[in-house]
Amino acid sequence: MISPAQLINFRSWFLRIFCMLLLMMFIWSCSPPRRTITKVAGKTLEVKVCRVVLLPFVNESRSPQLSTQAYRIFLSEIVQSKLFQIEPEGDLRHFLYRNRVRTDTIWNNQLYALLAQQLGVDAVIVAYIRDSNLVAGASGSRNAFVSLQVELHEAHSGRLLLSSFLRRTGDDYAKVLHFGVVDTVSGLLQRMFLEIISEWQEKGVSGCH
Amino acid sequence: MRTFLTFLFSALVLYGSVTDCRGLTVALLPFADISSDYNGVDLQATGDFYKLLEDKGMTLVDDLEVRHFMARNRLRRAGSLDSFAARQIGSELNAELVLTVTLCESGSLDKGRFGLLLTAFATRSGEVVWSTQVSSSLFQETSLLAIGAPRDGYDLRARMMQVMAHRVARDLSELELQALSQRYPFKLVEIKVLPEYVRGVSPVSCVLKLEALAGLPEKIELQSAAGQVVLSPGKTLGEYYGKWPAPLEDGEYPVSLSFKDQDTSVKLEKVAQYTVMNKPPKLSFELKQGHTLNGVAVFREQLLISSRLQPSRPVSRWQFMIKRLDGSVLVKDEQDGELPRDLLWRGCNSKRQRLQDGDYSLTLTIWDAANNSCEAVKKVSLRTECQPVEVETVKKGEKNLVRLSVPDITLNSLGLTWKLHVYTPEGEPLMEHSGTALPAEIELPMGIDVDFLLYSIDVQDLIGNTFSLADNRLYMPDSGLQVAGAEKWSEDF
Repeated sequence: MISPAQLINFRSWFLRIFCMLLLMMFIWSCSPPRRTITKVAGKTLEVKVCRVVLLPFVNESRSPQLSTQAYRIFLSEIVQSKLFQIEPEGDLRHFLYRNRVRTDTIWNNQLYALLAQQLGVDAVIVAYIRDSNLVAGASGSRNAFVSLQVELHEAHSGRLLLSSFLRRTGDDYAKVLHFGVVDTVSGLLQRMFLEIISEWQEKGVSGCH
Repeated sequence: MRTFLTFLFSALVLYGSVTDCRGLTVALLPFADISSDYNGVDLQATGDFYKLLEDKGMTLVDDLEVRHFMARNRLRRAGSLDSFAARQIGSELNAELVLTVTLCESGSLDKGRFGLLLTAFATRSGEVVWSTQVSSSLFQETSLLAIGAPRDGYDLRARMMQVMAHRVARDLSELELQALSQRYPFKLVEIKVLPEYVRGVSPVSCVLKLEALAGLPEKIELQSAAGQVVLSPGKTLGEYYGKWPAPLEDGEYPVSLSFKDQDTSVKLEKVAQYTVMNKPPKLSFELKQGHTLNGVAVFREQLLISSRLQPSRPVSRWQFMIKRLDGSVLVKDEQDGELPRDLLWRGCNSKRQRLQDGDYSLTLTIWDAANNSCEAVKKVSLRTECQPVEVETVKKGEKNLVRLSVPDITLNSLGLTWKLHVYTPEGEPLMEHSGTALPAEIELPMGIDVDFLLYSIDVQDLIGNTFSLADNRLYMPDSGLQVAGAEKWSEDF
């Protein structure tokens, strides 16, 4: 027979374990997704970058519109973060047209220098969509996944300053149950660019501040 | 209950959206719908959003005026809007802000997904000053007990548009619109310096197209290493021309422009460049898929010709010729444009007829972009037949030997590989030998008392030509009978 005192003790233990499990679930769900891999080319970022231009995305995925979508979303995130002053997309397209530079051109130091001179930018952001597709999500839905590489180059020399690589699916942002799952490609891209920008700030990119 | 909650949610959104926009005038560009096509435009959504913004008390430029402006200035889509066009909208349509909208997910509206991205340009500076985005899906919007969740994709779209209109009205009223950077009051639409590559002292010309916000500059000067040239206006407004002789020395010459008015002067550095080239590059080519013998490429089927220019330069035209050694031309191919890295010659003439075995010369000529020419010549030899090998018996002392030899010893370095089988007249194998060196002598076994033997020989050279003989007679030296000669041999086909 279990005495009332034992029963209270048992209930108290059960409650403690339940609370601990709940706390663990909470901590796990609130923890950020996998880290972005950002490498700084030198020991430190000694270049002051304020005005930047974002080159058209190199799209290695099978979705042709993804590069334009990603371009505008990244540009929007940069504007919202107030980290850099950004050259408008139209100005860059006009530069490419005027200098007869195709969007799939492999950029060399001369082109970087020309861009720096004509647009007056400090740095150039070069981005690649390495892969993108739909995968089966944990919640049963079809989730998008995107694999991105974003590089920051010094404009005058074309020197690589830092490079970030990350691969995410919509499920990576899930909190509890389906809450937090990102179901749209644009939403996923937005989260990924936010991660990149915040990591750049952590690595010492101070922008115009 | 659900309808009531939906109504409550919408009412809350609307309540929060009543914001004063300080009378800012906004030009709303047609929505760019990139969800399905790069050139997509959604006028229906533009109209809906226009009404929503008007309901928030915003002052908007008439959408027809915006479209006329876009048509006049060949502004096809939101992505083409540059800082100059934004400033032009400011001066022509009296707007403080230009709002561009991109639909990112509307193609999947039936699947319950929607995404909007808004960007605002300040027309005073031409800079991007504000941006926001929203994207969601029915799946993401699922709430506990489905309270306040959108019914379908279209309901989701309507809510998102409401949310964005609210954000626009709220945020744009707080924007600080001071000019962030000083941009030129004109746009360099196009500059062409022609020819890009030129010989020294040859004429170089420049064509410039300008667009200006207020008025075109009074004087435009072009500076390069050759000196300073004042560009003269063309027939069309905003077009300018200039001509000058190129410097004598080889090199790259950047071009700068100075725009001068009564009290102002603006200089644009390195807007274009031209290159002076007086000497031709070094041209060489390598022949592959053949065998080089004494500096001559010997081949059987085809030759791969890989050309190389040192230093690398743009080529305006090239010519490839195949001649006999007496100078008569068999093949002549001349084409404009860059020289292909590899050319393949299958040993045929211009009519695609196979040429006879013999020696030929290949001549490759290029003209670089400045019209300097250079050529490279190489001798080749086409051989489709293997050299016949003579087989005979000789007596040296007491020994009987089989001697293998080739008529032309110089061609032997093509690397003949041979294999000889000797049989008795009854067909029993007597000996088998192989080798790579010619002439060669092989001793016959002693005590053979026959007038002749039978032999088979297979020969192959390095470029793949073969020669075979089977069951031929090999007369013994003592027999006094006729020795099998090369003229009696026939190829085994």
